[in-house]
Amino acid sequence: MPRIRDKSVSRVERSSPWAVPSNHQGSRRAARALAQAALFALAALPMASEAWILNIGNNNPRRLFLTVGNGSTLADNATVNLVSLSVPAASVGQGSLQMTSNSTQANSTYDGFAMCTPPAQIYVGALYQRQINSQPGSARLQVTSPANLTTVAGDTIPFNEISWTVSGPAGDANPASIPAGTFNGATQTLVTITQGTLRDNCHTFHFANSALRPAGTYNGRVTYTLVSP
Amino acid sequence: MSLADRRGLDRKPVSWRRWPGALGLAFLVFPALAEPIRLDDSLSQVTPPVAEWAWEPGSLRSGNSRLLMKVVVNVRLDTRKWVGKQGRIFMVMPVEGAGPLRAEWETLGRLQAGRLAPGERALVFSGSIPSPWLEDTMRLQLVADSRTMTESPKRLSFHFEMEAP
Repeated sequence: MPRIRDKSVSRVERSSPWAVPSNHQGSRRAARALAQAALFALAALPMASEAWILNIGNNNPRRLFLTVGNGSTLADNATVNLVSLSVPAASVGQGSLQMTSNSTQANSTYDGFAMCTPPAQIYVGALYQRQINSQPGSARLQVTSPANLTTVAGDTIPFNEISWTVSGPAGDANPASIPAGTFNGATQTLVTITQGTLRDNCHTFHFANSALRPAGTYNGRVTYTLVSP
Repeated sequence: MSLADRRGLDRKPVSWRRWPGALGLAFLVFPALAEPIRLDDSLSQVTPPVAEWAWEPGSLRSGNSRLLMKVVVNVRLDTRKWVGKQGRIFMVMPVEGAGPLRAEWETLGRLQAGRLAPGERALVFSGSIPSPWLEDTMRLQLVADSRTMTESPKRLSFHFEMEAP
Protein backbone atom coordinates (compact mmCIF):
# COMPACT_ATOMS: atom_id res chain seq x y z
CA MET A 1 0.00 0.00 0.00
CA PRO A 2 2.72 2.61 0.77
CA ARG A 3 4.27 1.91 -2.63
CA ILE A 4 1.04 2.87 -4.37
CA ARG A 5 0.91 6.08 -2.42
CA ASP A 6 4.51 6.99 -3.29
CA LYS A 7 3.92 6.25 -6.93
CA SER A 8 0.77 8.34 -7.07
CA VAL A 9 2.30 11.25 -5.30
CA SER A 10 5.33 11.29 -7.55
CA ARG A 11 3.14 11.30 -10.64
CA VAL A 12 1.00 14.11 -9.28
CA GLU A 13 4.10 16.07 -8.50
CA ARG A 14 5.43 15.60 -12.02
CA SER A 15 2.21 17.00 -13.47
CA SER A 16 2.10 19.99 -11.22
CA PRO A 17 -1.40 21.39 -10.74
CA TRP A 18 -0.10 24.75 -11.93
CA ALA A 19 1.23 23.38 -15.23
CA VAL A 20 -1.05 23.18 -18.26
CA PRO A 21 -0.75 19.71 -19.86
CA SER A 22 0.97 19.93 -23.20
CA ASN A 23 -1.19 17.26 -24.84
CA HIS A 24 -4.10 14.87 -24.26
CA GLN A 25 -1.81 12.00 -23.28
CA GLY A 26 -0.32 14.11 -20.53
CA SER A 27 -3.78 15.13 -19.49
CA ARG A 28 -4.93 11.53 -19.25
CA ARG A 29 -1.83 10.60 -17.25
CA ALA A 30 -2.41 13.44 -14.83
CA ALA A 31 -6.05 12.51 -14.52
CA ARG A 32 -5.14 8.86 -13.87
CA ALA A 33 -2.58 9.91 -11.27
CA LEU A 34 -5.10 12.14 -9.57
CA ALA A 35 -7.64 9.34 -9.66
CA GLN A 36 -5.14 6.99 -8.06
CA ALA A 37 -4.33 9.58 -5.44
CA ALA A 38 -8.02 10.12 -4.79
CA LEU A 39 -8.58 6.37 -4.60
CA PHE A 40 -5.84 6.11 -2.06
CA ALA A 41 -7.22 9.04 -0.14
CA LEU A 42 -10.58 7.29 0.03
CA ALA A 43 -8.94 4.08 1.16
CA ALA A 44 -6.97 5.95 3.80
CA LEU A 45 -10.02 7.55 5.39
CA PRO A 46 -10.64 6.13 8.83
CA MET A 47 -13.39 3.53 8.71
CA ALA A 48 -16.39 4.11 10.91
CA SER A 49 -16.32 1.82 13.91
CA GLU A 50 -18.72 -1.06 13.53
CA ALA A 51 -18.18 -2.69 16.87
CA TRP A 52 -18.22 -1.68 20.47
CA ILE A 53 -15.18 -2.88 22.29
CA LEU A 54 -15.11 -4.40 25.72
CA ASN A 55 -11.57 -3.97 27.00
CA ILE A 56 -10.71 -6.47 29.68
CA GLY A 57 -8.21 -5.53 32.36
CA ASN A 58 -5.25 -7.54 33.58
CA ASN A 59 -6.53 -8.19 37.06
CA ASN A 60 -6.04 -11.69 38.35
CA PRO A 61 -8.86 -12.55 40.72
CA ARG A 62 -7.30 -15.88 41.78
CA ARG A 63 -7.87 -16.08 45.50
CA LEU A 64 -7.23 -18.03 48.63
CA PHE A 65 -9.53 -17.68 51.61
CA LEU A 66 -8.81 -18.93 55.11
CA THR A 67 -10.52 -18.28 58.42
CA VAL A 68 -9.85 -20.01 61.74
CA GLY A 69 -12.04 -18.76 64.56
CA ASN A 70 -13.04 -15.12 64.43
CA GLY A 71 -12.71 -13.46 61.06
CA SER A 72 -14.10 -10.78 58.82
CA THR A 73 -16.15 -11.39 55.73
CA LEU A 74 -13.69 -11.70 52.87
CA ALA A 75 -11.25 -9.38 54.63
CA ASP A 76 -8.12 -9.69 56.74
CA ASN A 77 -8.52 -10.17 60.46
CA ALA A 78 -5.58 -10.44 62.87
CA THR A 79 -7.49 -12.12 65.71
CA VAL A 80 -5.79 -15.12 67.32
CA ASN A 81 -8.32 -17.12 69.27
CA LEU A 82 -7.59 -19.07 72.41
CA VAL A 83 -8.67 -22.66 72.92
CA SER A 84 -8.37 -23.62 76.55
CA LEU A 85 -9.21 -26.00 79.32
CA SER A 86 -8.87 -25.99 83.10
CA VAL A 87 -8.30 -29.51 84.31
CA PRO A 88 -9.87 -30.16 87.68
CA ALA A 89 -7.30 -31.51 90.12
CA ALA A 90 -9.22 -34.74 90.49
CA SER A 91 -9.20 -35.29 86.72
CA VAL A 92 -5.52 -34.87 86.00
CA GLY A 93 -4.35 -37.77 83.93
CA GLN A 94 -7.80 -39.33 83.87
CA GLY A 95 -8.52 -39.23 80.15
CA SER A 96 -9.85 -37.00 77.37
CA LEU A 97 -11.51 -33.69 78.14
CA GLN A 98 -13.24 -31.33 75.75
CA MET A 99 -11.79 -27.86 75.41
CA THR A 100 -13.55 -24.59 74.80
CA SER A 101 -12.56 -21.30 73.19
CA ASN A 102 -13.06 -17.57 73.11
CA SER A 103 -14.32 -17.69 69.55
CA THR A 104 -17.63 -16.06 68.75
CA GLN A 105 -17.66 -16.97 65.07
CA ALA A 106 -20.84 -18.87 64.27
CA ASN A 107 -21.29 -18.02 60.59
CA SER A 108 -19.00 -18.52 57.63
CA THR A 109 -16.86 -15.49 56.98
CA TYR A 110 -17.09 -16.35 53.30
CA ASP A 111 -20.82 -16.15 52.77
CA GLY A 112 -22.46 -15.77 56.16
CA PHE A 113 -23.80 -19.33 56.17
CA ALA A 114 -24.73 -20.50 59.70
CA MET A 115 -22.09 -23.05 60.63
CA CYS A 116 -20.89 -23.48 64.19
CA THR A 117 -21.84 -23.21 67.83
CA PRO A 118 -19.15 -21.21 69.58
CA PRO A 119 -17.38 -21.19 71.94
CA ALA A 120 -17.01 -24.97 71.94
CA GLN A 121 -16.72 -25.05 68.16
CA ILE A 122 -14.14 -23.16 66.12
CA TYR A 123 -15.07 -22.26 62.56
CA VAL A 124 -12.42 -23.28 60.01
CA GLY A 125 -13.00 -22.35 56.39
CA ALA A 126 -10.76 -22.45 53.34
CA LEU A 127 -11.30 -22.06 49.63
CA TYR A 128 -9.28 -21.74 46.50
CA GLN A 129 -10.46 -20.20 43.25
CA ARG A 130 -8.38 -19.70 40.19
CA GLN A 131 -9.18 -17.53 37.20
CA ILE A 132 -7.99 -19.71 34.35
CA ASN A 133 -7.00 -23.34 34.12
CA SER A 134 -3.32 -22.68 33.49
CA GLN A 135 -3.09 -21.70 37.15
CA PRO A 136 -2.48 -24.35 39.86
CA GLY A 137 -5.31 -26.80 40.24
CA SER A 138 -5.33 -26.98 44.02
CA ALA A 139 -4.27 -25.45 47.32
CA ARG A 140 -3.16 -27.15 50.50
CA LEU A 141 -4.50 -26.43 53.97
CA GLN A 142 -1.90 -27.20 56.56
CA VAL A 143 -1.32 -26.58 60.22
CA THR A 144 1.97 -26.20 62.06
CA SER A 145 2.26 -26.95 65.73
CA PRO A 146 5.25 -26.84 68.04
CA ALA A 147 6.46 -30.00 69.68
CA ASN A 148 5.07 -29.07 73.08
CA LEU A 149 2.82 -26.86 75.09
CA THR A 150 5.02 -25.23 77.69
CA THR A 151 4.82 -23.40 80.99
CA VAL A 152 7.03 -20.51 82.03
CA ALA A 153 8.72 -22.98 84.39
CA GLY A 154 9.65 -25.14 81.42
CA ASP A 155 7.21 -27.99 81.96
CA THR A 156 5.81 -29.49 78.79
CA ILE A 157 2.92 -31.42 77.35
CA PRO A 158 3.40 -32.95 73.88
CA PHE A 159 1.20 -31.23 71.34
CA ASN A 160 -0.05 -34.58 70.15
CA GLU A 161 -2.14 -34.61 73.33
CA ILE A 162 -4.41 -32.17 71.51
CA SER A 163 -6.82 -33.46 68.87
CA TRP A 164 -9.99 -32.25 67.23
CA THR A 165 -13.25 -33.61 65.97
CA VAL A 166 -15.25 -32.00 63.18
CA SER A 167 -18.89 -31.36 62.42
CA GLY A 168 -21.06 -29.29 60.17
CA PRO A 169 -24.46 -27.70 60.42
CA ALA A 170 -27.59 -29.82 60.22
CA GLY A 171 -28.00 -31.25 56.77
CA ASP A 172 -24.38 -30.74 55.78
CA ALA A 173 -23.62 -33.35 53.13
CA ASN A 174 -19.92 -33.32 53.91
CA PRO A 175 -19.37 -32.40 57.57
CA ALA A 176 -15.81 -33.76 57.44
CA SER A 177 -14.74 -31.60 54.52
CA ILE A 178 -11.74 -30.74 56.69
CA PRO A 179 -10.98 -33.99 58.50
CA ALA A 180 -10.53 -34.62 62.19
CA GLY A 181 -7.01 -35.18 63.44
CA THR A 182 -4.32 -34.79 66.04
CA PHE A 183 -1.52 -32.23 66.08
CA ASN A 184 1.83 -33.84 65.42
CA GLY A 185 4.28 -31.20 66.59
CA ALA A 186 5.25 -30.32 63.04
CA THR A 187 3.61 -29.17 59.80
CA GLN A 188 0.83 -31.45 58.62
CA THR A 189 -1.50 -31.22 55.66
CA LEU A 190 -5.14 -31.26 56.63
CA VAL A 191 -6.71 -31.35 53.20
CA THR A 192 -6.01 -30.57 49.56
CA ILE A 193 -8.51 -28.13 48.19
CA THR A 194 -9.32 -28.45 44.52
CA GLN A 195 -9.76 -25.17 42.70
CA GLY A 196 -13.29 -23.90 42.80
CA THR A 197 -13.93 -25.61 46.13
CA LEU A 198 -14.90 -24.39 49.57
CA ARG A 199 -14.06 -26.51 52.60
CA ASP A 200 -15.41 -25.39 55.92
CA ASN A 201 -16.64 -26.97 59.13
CA CYS A 202 -16.47 -26.70 62.88
CA HIS A 203 -13.64 -28.01 65.04
CA THR A 204 -13.98 -29.10 68.61
CA PHE A 205 -10.69 -29.62 70.44
CA HIS A 206 -9.86 -32.23 73.02
CA PHE A 207 -7.03 -32.71 75.48
CA ALA A 208 -5.97 -36.34 75.82
CA ASN A 209 -5.04 -35.80 79.48
CA SER A 210 -3.17 -39.06 79.46
CA ALA A 211 -0.62 -38.40 82.16
CA LEU A 212 0.03 -36.56 85.38
CA ARG A 213 1.56 -33.11 84.75
CA PRO A 214 3.04 -30.48 87.01
CA ALA A 215 0.58 -27.70 87.80
CA GLY A 216 0.84 -24.66 85.58
CA THR A 217 -0.48 -22.89 82.51
CA TYR A 218 0.64 -24.64 79.36
CA ASN A 219 0.65 -22.60 76.16
CA GLY A 220 1.36 -23.25 72.54
CA ARG A 221 0.31 -21.69 69.30
CA VAL A 222 -0.68 -23.50 66.14
CA THR A 223 -0.74 -21.75 62.78
CA TYR A 224 -3.02 -22.67 59.91
CA THR A 225 -1.78 -21.92 56.41
CA LEU A 226 -3.39 -22.21 53.01
CA VAL A 227 -0.77 -22.70 50.32
CA SER A 228 -0.94 -22.67 46.54
CA PRO A 229 2.11 -22.41 44.28
CA MET B 1 -59.88 -40.81 -1.44
CA SER B 2 -57.86 -38.85 1.01
CA LEU B 3 -57.59 -35.10 1.09
CA ALA B 4 -53.94 -35.37 0.09
CA ASP B 5 -54.80 -37.48 -2.89
CA ARG B 6 -57.42 -35.00 -3.98
CA ARG B 7 -54.87 -32.21 -3.63
CA GLY B 8 -52.57 -34.21 -5.84
CA LEU B 9 -55.24 -34.48 -8.49
CA ASP B 10 -55.90 -30.75 -8.37
CA ARG B 11 -52.25 -29.88 -8.75
CA LYS B 12 -51.09 -28.86 -12.18
CA PRO B 13 -48.11 -30.67 -13.67
CA VAL B 14 -44.80 -28.98 -12.88
CA SER B 15 -43.24 -27.19 -15.81
CA TRP B 16 -39.51 -27.84 -15.41
CA ARG B 17 -38.75 -25.29 -18.10
CA ARG B 18 -39.85 -22.51 -15.74
CA TRP B 19 -37.45 -23.51 -12.94
CA PRO B 20 -34.21 -21.87 -14.13
CA GLY B 21 -35.92 -18.51 -14.35
CA ALA B 22 -37.57 -18.93 -10.98
CA LEU B 23 -34.32 -20.00 -9.39
CA GLY B 24 -32.53 -17.04 -10.90
CA LEU B 25 -35.13 -14.68 -9.50
CA ALA B 26 -34.79 -16.30 -6.10
CA PHE B 27 -31.05 -15.77 -6.13
CA LEU B 28 -31.54 -12.14 -7.01
CA VAL B 29 -34.16 -11.43 -4.39
CA PHE B 30 -33.22 -13.63 -1.43
CA PRO B 31 -29.82 -12.13 -0.58
CA ALA B 32 -31.31 -8.67 -0.55
CA LEU B 33 -33.75 -9.83 2.10
CA ALA B 34 -31.43 -11.82 4.33
CA GLU B 35 -27.97 -10.30 4.08
CA PRO B 36 -27.17 -8.63 7.41
CA ILE B 37 -25.58 -5.19 7.33
CA ARG B 38 -23.24 -4.12 10.09
CA LEU B 39 -24.44 -0.98 11.76
CA ASP B 40 -22.21 1.92 12.64
CA ASP B 41 -22.12 2.14 16.42
CA SER B 42 -19.06 4.34 16.67
CA LEU B 43 -20.91 6.69 19.01
CA SER B 44 -21.57 3.93 21.54
CA GLN B 45 -19.69 4.23 24.81
CA VAL B 46 -18.60 1.60 27.30
CA THR B 47 -18.18 2.37 31.00
CA PRO B 48 -15.74 1.65 32.49
CA PRO B 49 -13.42 1.75 29.48
CA VAL B 50 -11.43 -1.15 30.94
CA ALA B 51 -13.43 -3.66 32.94
CA GLU B 52 -12.14 -6.24 35.38
CA TRP B 53 -13.21 -9.64 36.59
CA ALA B 54 -14.72 -10.12 40.02
CA TRP B 55 -16.07 -13.16 41.82
CA GLU B 56 -19.76 -13.65 42.14
CA PRO B 57 -20.44 -13.21 45.87
CA GLY B 58 -21.04 -16.25 48.04
CA SER B 59 -21.43 -18.69 45.23
CA LEU B 60 -19.08 -21.58 45.94
CA ARG B 61 -21.22 -23.33 48.51
CA SER B 62 -23.71 -24.12 45.76
CA GLY B 63 -20.91 -25.27 43.47
CA ASN B 64 -20.76 -22.00 41.58
CA SER B 65 -17.37 -20.58 40.69
CA ARG B 66 -18.36 -17.79 38.37
CA LEU B 67 -16.48 -14.67 37.47
CA LEU B 68 -18.40 -11.58 36.53
CA MET B 69 -17.52 -8.44 34.64
CA LYS B 70 -20.03 -5.63 34.63
CA VAL B 71 -20.16 -2.73 32.20
CA VAL B 72 -22.67 -0.18 31.05
CA VAL B 73 -22.94 0.33 27.31
CA ASN B 74 -24.60 3.47 26.02
CA VAL B 75 -25.62 2.15 22.64
CA ARG B 76 -26.09 4.61 19.78
CA LEU B 77 -26.75 2.99 16.44
CA ASP B 78 -26.80 4.81 13.12
CA THR B 79 -30.11 3.78 11.58
CA ARG B 80 -30.58 6.81 9.32
CA LYS B 81 -30.88 4.69 6.18
CA TRP B 82 -33.77 2.66 7.57
CA VAL B 83 -36.03 5.18 9.30
CA GLY B 84 -39.65 4.12 8.90
CA LYS B 85 -38.68 0.77 7.41
CA GLN B 86 -39.13 -2.62 8.95
CA GLY B 87 -35.96 -4.18 10.24
CA ARG B 88 -34.44 -6.57 12.71
CA ILE B 89 -31.30 -5.72 14.62
CA PHE B 90 -29.06 -8.32 16.21
CA MET B 91 -26.15 -8.01 18.59
CA VAL B 92 -23.31 -10.34 17.71
CA MET B 93 -20.71 -11.70 20.09
CA PRO B 94 -17.36 -12.59 18.54
CA VAL B 95 -15.81 -16.03 18.77
CA GLU B 96 -12.17 -15.07 18.65
CA GLY B 97 -10.47 -15.21 22.03
CA ALA B 98 -13.74 -15.29 23.86
CA GLY B 99 -13.50 -18.70 25.51
CA PRO B 100 -16.41 -20.18 27.45
CA LEU B 101 -18.08 -16.90 28.28
CA ARG B 102 -21.62 -15.66 28.30
CA ALA B 103 -22.89 -12.12 27.98
CA GLU B 104 -26.18 -11.14 29.62
CA TRP B 105 -27.76 -7.71 29.52
CA GLU B 106 -30.71 -5.64 30.51
CA THR B 107 -31.85 -2.46 28.77
CA LEU B 108 -34.08 0.51 29.38
CA GLY B 109 -36.56 -0.86 26.87
CA ARG B 110 -35.72 0.46 23.43
CA LEU B 111 -33.60 -2.61 22.78
CA GLN B 112 -34.41 -6.06 24.07
CA ALA B 113 -32.63 -7.76 26.96
CA GLY B 114 -30.94 -11.04 26.23
CA ARG B 115 -27.92 -13.26 26.48
CA LEU B 116 -25.22 -14.42 24.09
CA ALA B 117 -22.47 -16.98 23.85
CA PRO B 118 -19.46 -16.51 21.56
CA GLY B 119 -20.39 -16.88 17.91
CA GLU B 120 -24.05 -16.26 18.54
CA ARG B 121 -26.27 -13.32 17.78
CA ALA B 122 -29.34 -12.16 19.66
CA LEU B 123 -32.30 -10.16 18.45
CA VAL B 124 -32.35 -6.76 20.16
CA PHE B 125 -34.85 -4.93 17.99
CA SER B 126 -37.62 -5.85 15.59
CA GLY B 127 -40.09 -3.57 13.91
CA SER B 128 -40.24 -0.21 12.25
CA ILE B 129 -37.05 1.78 12.73
CA PRO B 130 -38.32 4.75 14.71
CA SER B 131 -35.53 7.28 14.44
CA PRO B 132 -32.22 8.06 12.74
CA TRP B 133 -30.37 6.99 15.86
CA LEU B 134 -31.40 4.03 17.94
CA GLU B 135 -30.25 4.56 21.50
CA ASP B 136 -30.45 2.62 24.73
CA THR B 137 -28.42 1.85 27.82
CA MET B 138 -27.34 -1.74 28.32
CA ARG B 139 -26.27 -3.05 31.70
CA LEU B 140 -24.19 -5.94 30.51
CA GLN B 141 -22.36 -8.57 32.46
CA LEU B 142 -19.89 -11.04 31.16
CA VAL B 143 -20.03 -14.37 32.96
CA ALA B 144 -17.32 -17.03 32.99
CA ASP B 145 -16.88 -20.23 34.97
CA SER B 146 -13.36 -20.17 36.34
CA ARG B 147 -13.24 -23.97 36.38
CA THR B 148 -13.45 -24.12 32.60
CA MET B 149 -11.86 -20.85 31.59
CA THR B 150 -8.71 -21.39 29.56
CA GLU B 151 -7.71 -17.78 29.16
CA SER B 152 -9.09 -14.34 29.72
CA PRO B 153 -9.52 -12.42 26.49
CA LYS B 154 -8.02 -8.95 26.34
CA ARG B 155 -10.89 -7.45 24.42
CA LEU B 156 -14.17 -8.40 22.85
CA SER B 157 -15.64 -6.63 19.84
CA PHE B 158 -19.39 -6.88 19.87
CA HIS B 159 -21.25 -5.48 16.89
CA PHE B 160 -24.77 -4.94 15.67
CA GLU B 161 -26.20 -6.00 12.36
CA MET B 162 -29.40 -5.10 10.58
CA GLU B 163 -31.64 -7.28 8.50
CA ALA B 164 -34.10 -5.29 6.46
CA PRO B 165 -36.17 -6.22 3.45
